[in-house]
Amino acid sequence: MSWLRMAISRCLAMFRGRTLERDLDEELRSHLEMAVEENRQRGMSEGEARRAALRSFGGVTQVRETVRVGQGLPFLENLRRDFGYALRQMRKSPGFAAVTVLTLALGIGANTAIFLLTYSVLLKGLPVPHPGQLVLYRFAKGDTTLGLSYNLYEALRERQTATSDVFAWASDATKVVENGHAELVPMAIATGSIFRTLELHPYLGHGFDEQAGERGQPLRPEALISYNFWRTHFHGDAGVLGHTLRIDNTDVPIIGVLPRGFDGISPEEHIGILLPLSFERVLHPSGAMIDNPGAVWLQVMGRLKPGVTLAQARAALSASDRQITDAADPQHMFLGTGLFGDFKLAVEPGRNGASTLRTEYGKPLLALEALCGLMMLLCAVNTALLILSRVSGRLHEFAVRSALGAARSRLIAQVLMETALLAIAGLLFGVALGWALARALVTMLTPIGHPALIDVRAGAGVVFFAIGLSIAAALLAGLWPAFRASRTAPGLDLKQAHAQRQAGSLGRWIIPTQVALGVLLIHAALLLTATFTDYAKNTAGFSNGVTFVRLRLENDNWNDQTQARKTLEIAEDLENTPGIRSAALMNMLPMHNFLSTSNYFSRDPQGNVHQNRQVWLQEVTPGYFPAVGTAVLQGRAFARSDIAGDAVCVISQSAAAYFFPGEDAVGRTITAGQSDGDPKHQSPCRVIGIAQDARLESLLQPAPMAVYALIEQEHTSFPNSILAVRASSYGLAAEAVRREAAKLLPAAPPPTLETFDQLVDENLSQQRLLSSVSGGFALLALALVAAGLYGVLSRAVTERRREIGIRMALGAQRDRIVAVLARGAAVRVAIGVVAGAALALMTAHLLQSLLYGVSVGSFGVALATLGILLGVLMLAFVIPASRAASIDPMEAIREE
Amino acid sequence: MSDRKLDVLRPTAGAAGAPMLQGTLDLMVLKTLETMGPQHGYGIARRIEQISEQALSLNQGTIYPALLRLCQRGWIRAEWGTSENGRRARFYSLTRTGKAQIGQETENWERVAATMARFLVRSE
Repeated sequence: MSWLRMAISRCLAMFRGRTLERDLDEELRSHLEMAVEENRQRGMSEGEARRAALRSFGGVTQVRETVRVGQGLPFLENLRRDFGYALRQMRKSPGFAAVTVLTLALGIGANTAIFLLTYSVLLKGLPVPHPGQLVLYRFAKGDTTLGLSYNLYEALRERQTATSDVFAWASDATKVVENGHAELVPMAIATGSIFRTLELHPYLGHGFDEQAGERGQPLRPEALISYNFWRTHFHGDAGVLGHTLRIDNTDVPIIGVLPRGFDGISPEEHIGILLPLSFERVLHPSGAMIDNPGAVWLQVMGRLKPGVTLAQARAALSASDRQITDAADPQHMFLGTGLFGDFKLAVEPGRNGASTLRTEYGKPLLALEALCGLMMLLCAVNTALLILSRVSGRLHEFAVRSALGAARSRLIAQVLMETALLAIAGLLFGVALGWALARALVTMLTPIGHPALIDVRAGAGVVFFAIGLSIAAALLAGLWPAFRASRTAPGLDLKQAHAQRQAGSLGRWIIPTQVALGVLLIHAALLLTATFTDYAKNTAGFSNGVTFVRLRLENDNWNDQTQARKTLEIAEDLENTPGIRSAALMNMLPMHNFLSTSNYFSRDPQGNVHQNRQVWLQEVTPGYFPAVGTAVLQGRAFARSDIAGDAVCVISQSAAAYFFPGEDAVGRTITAGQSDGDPKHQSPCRVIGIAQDARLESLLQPAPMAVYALIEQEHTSFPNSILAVRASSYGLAAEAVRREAAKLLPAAPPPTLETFDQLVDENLSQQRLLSSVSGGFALLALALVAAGLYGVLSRAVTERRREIGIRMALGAQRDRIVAVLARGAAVRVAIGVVAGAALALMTAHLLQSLLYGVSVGSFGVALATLGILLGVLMLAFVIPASRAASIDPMEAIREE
Repeated sequence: MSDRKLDVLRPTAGAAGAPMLQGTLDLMVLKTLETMGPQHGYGIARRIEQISEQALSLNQGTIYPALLRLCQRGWIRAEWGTSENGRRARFYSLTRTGKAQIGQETENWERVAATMARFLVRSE
């Protein structure tokens, strides 16, 4: 342990250096005085006494130096001196310092921002003890995963063996809460086992009972509120327990406050209220999902038993998968058949909960991380170049110092200190920049009008990441120049000419490295942007100018028929409003990742069943096609008069090609239902038109085969009140919709409106994030590469001024001078381009899965990359080249 | 423990006259402080000179690196005080670990001395 003490006391010495030195001097002086006094008392003369004292002491200076080294003082002195020197250097050339700090700050900032996002979305575990033990149960087929039905959850809970317990959670319910005034509060419902499984210890009060919220148990309405909700709505009052909230006309007492920081089982979730799962029956009195064995709506999580691995849990689950599904659905009405045919129970890591963001943004964020890494490398290389050029400008100084006896390590230490100062400044600016960038990105990802998707909060992890990054950057940027500085050969470098020649070759590796990184970044950005624009320019079978409206028409006094009638009235009133071209109702919002399917079959002319499959069923009112802008290509669209007649439908182009291959579909009949089922459950309809294919599910999914049917022919009630309104302006549409809704039901919450553009934005937020961030990187990369080339060339011109002057004096033409310069630059750029292209090829497969409508090997994109890069590099070349060409030989030679 | 044994056998630089082993001086300082109580550098040096009866021609200055070493190991501590003739001086005293260390160092040294003695007897 004594070495530790030694180290500590040396570190402490850093702060008391001056005191230590004064103390030592005084101690030695007092020692000598005492010796002199004793000698004098023995009868020596003053001079004799002093001489004897010094003799018996030995070398005072030597002792003093030994003690000082022991205290670690010279090291500190050097550090202090290097620090002061570095500060003076920075002050002497603020431009250089600013550019270097900016370069580092941009690199560190971009990396911190993306890392903050990645950390918040992918890495941060749920704020509960040992999140690594958590697992998530899904109902999955390949990449498609769904939740579990209550029956599945119950069967799983009884039969699974790998986890100590499981709980079920659903959070999409958002209802009006009356706490003085009506308000929409995000909330969740869960089974009581959540508290034991997640080891949640409420901040105040207590959690639900173990069996609370289960279907078989009597419902006791109780609520826990989140810490934030408690602070904002109850001012953190400890007397909140026992207060009641009014939720859907039910009084719910508050029994506890959730632990601070826990407000959902995924990073993007911020609930205010937690209720027992069976409260769902209160929220949806008609058709509660908890009683519907076909509804796969629950997030189910468990905690692995000690010593059980995820692989073991998977094995255990696949062994009992059959039993569990049999228990959940003995008649095989829902599971293992139809839509859910190929779905199986699966278990996934649940460290960061049931995050949809993770599945949605996992890959894009990792891609951005990789691009960021390249960006950082480029920034470090540029910084290295900047520092190197500074160092080479001072080679003379280093040579002098080295000739005067400075150790190599001292020269390295000094250059590193200068880099360290720049890196620290870069770190501070970079972290601030990263913070702002991360917030901007989150805003970009968050649908308009929603609360922030994720909480960008830096943990120690992010801070360490930024610091680690800066250290790595500083070492990368500083070591090379430092090494170069220390390698001065005093005899040679003292002669200016040699120093210059050495400096001229500095860019030998830097330019190719920069160009290669630039090629990679620009290429990736172009591909990702091409993907984005390809998605965005394809309006997917809709046309811009439509506004989608979700009405909230809920009145306890209305029955379903009344509500349907009122909804239809709104649509009709809107159609008659001046400025509104068309308005229509539909059962399903397009482009919202919903699924609406039904089985249809067609018969051939002989009456045999011809084709049979699940298709998208969109139920609409007659105004639908003009309202959303889906073109009817053949036949005709719906008319109001169709409602009273026989069942009619419009089918999509791809559906027409499928059901009636090579034939004219208009006028033919397709039938809803199972072809081998009871004819009573089959409903035929006549095809009156063929519509263009539309991406009803999502912009990112191919357009499904679709059948459009008239909502009023099919149903007498329709609970989903979704309107599409096409008006001459959005403001007009919004105004009219709000007026109509208020007229009908003044107390209802205002309708939610969404323009087509917003819908596209939301559908493409992932692609937009990728294209805008990578585009930003590419621009930065271009600037850095151009600055690099410019810097190297213009220094070369300055340093070779004399040589160029002599060549010109000897008769070299100006274009010849430029050609020499160009050849040098071209070789380095070419090496970089080749290396960059090779790297791009090697990493192509990583990018391909993120692309759409463009391939990694696209020749056009490769050409564009080269064009942009070379164009900008040409600009960077022109200025130094023209300076070289305009050198006056006489002047250049006379210098020195 | 083993590193301390090696310590003892490493000769100290800076001591004139009879060659001295490192660790010897440290033990002398510790022992001096044990018998005399808190003492300043000059006092310690004089005491060592007297005890060794000039057999070791020790440069007084060499005790300062030794004192620093012992301080850094936490075996002794230093405090400013006033000497018997009214001069400001730094007084060194044993810490608790220092006191405990003396026994160990003594044992160590005795073992080395005994080994050396045996070795000398046999080779005669």
